[in-house]
Amino acid sequence: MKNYLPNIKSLIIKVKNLINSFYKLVGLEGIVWISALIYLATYSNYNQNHFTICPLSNLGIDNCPGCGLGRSVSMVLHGQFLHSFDFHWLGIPALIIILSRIFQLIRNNFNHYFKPINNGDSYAKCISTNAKS
Amino acid sequence: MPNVFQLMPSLEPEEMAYIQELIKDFTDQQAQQFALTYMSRRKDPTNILIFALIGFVGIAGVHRFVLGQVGMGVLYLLTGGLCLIGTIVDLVNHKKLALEFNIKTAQQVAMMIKQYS
Repeated sequence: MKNYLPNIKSLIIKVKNLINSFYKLVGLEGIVWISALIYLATYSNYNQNHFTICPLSNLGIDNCPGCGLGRSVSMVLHGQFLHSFDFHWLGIPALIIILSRIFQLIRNNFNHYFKPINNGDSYAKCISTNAKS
Repeated sequence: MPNVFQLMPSLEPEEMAYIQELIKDFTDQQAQQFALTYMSRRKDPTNILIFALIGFVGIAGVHRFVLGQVGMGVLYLLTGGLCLIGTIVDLVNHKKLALEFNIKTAQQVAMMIKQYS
């Protein structure tokens, strides 16, 4: 039993580092977009208006401008393009815009955190030199 | 070596670290020029926060247009800030958004300074 404990600890540290680097790579915004796309891809009951995460329809507003777009993007992710046009014509462009935004975020953060501009100095070193001078 | 804290004391910490790294090789005159140009072109995070707050009372997505992301701006405008969720995320995230824009602007300005002086 004692021999397994360090292995588990190192595994936990590895998973923690993985999550940390993923968070650094996409940021808060990217995590929200990716989880929204996963939610829409697994969403199935369109007619039942009982449980939604949309705050506007939970407040009691019937004509929410965003819900049709959500259903449309969801239809695109299920592969039914004609139905998606029935819900909202902006479904496919919206999906393209969000995906391009995710890629832009990943590229920006990759350049920013993993490849600092001049010869490989990390941010900690830069901040410490700032504090010294 | 020009000191960014003396030239531009009102920057955010992470932004300051980035710009210190960027203007490391500049002469003092070039750094002065950089400070003047960059301070007139950067966007303040507080302004972005105020533009995002407009999404609760009227038109959503003004901050995305201001930051130059036209596609996301149109999406926010037509869906009321993605059912208010996008607006709330951007309220939390406004410093990161401003930092992203400011870093792009700083790179442009540094390139201009290197070319024209």
